[in-house]
Amino acid sequence: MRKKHFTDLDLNRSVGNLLRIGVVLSVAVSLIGFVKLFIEGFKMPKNYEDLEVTNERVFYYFWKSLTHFEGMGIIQLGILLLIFTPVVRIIFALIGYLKEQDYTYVIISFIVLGIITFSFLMGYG
Amino acid sequence: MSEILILFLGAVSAGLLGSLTGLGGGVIIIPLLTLGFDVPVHYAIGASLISVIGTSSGAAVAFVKEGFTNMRIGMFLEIATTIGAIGGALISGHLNGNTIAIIFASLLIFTVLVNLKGKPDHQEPRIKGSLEDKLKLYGTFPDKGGILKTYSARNTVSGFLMMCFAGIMSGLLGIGSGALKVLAMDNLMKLPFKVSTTTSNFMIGVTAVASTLIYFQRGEIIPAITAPVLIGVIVGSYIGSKTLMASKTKKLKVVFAVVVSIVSLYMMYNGIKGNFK
Repeated sequence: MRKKHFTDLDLNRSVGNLLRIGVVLSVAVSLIGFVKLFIEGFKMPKNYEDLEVTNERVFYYFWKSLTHFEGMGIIQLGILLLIFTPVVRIIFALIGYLKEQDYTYVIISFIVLGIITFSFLMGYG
Repeated sequence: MSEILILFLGAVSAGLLGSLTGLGGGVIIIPLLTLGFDVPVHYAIGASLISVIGTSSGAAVAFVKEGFTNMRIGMFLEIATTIGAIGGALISGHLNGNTIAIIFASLLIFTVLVNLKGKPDHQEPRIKGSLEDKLKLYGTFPDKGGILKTYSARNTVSGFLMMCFAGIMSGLLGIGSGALKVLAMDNLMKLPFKVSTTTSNFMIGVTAVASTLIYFQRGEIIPAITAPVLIGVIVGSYIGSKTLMASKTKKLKVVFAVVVSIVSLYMMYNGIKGNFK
């Protein structure tokens, strides 16, 4: 029982570090992208509606922008890094439950991951 | 350039206030962007969701170390909140900005009321063979003397359903919907106050991810708006976590409640008038 508690704390610690790294990394990347965006000569429009991002093939345009090292794509990379931080957190927890042989929670973790994957694959409603 | 600086400073204060009051940054960032900057409501929600993920992940670091977060209860209830969040994100795609603003304002007033009322603090014993026992929805937490106290959840089914609703509101409005989570975890599931607060904070990030992926693919997460908002909110909540401890903020909470009430009434008025984009 005592040993199990120890693993829990250990796992919590690595999860905590992971979350922090994810947040710091994403903020840093977004900042770089934002600076780059203005170096490219971007100006905030008077009307924010003009900032529309195409909703067709979002990931294609993201990749294209990123490989051209454009500010827009770099910011999106930072955003995606942040989005996937909690997802990695679930995967860490899943590994922890596997180690503890708590199969109820292995299944529950898989269900949560499944729901998020579903949201990812569904695209826009 | 100047509007970027104002946007950034606004986000810093949103993060600061959000962390001091425990309401989260989203509650302030949405009125700021829509009413203050005339940003379309859906874009404001997108930016807010991203900052919600950031603050939740940042704050969770401190909480898991203290040993109050119950990862099992969190994971189990995340099934409810993520399903709800997807539903909320899909609903928001069919609503116009004004309707969303009116719902937002109503939930904001409700949040203020819940926050002023003070949270109940429960500590229920484990019952062998119950649903909570089978799902391991129990745990221990250290009290002031460092002694481990045992607690267990109650009313898992109704708590789960309330969490679905909290998820819907989170996905629809781009906030952490902490007030609804308090209802579910404190009032219905009768969890100790510290456990519910930290666990719900831990869940907010995952919940927001489920709806964010839909907003992202719908093209409603605008990089030029989201970047300064995210950076500002993170900086603000970091300052907030360093400057004041929660015990000193009671007066601030009352002031904040008044401010938020005025903001939500103003938002309601503009929503009914149809002034949102």
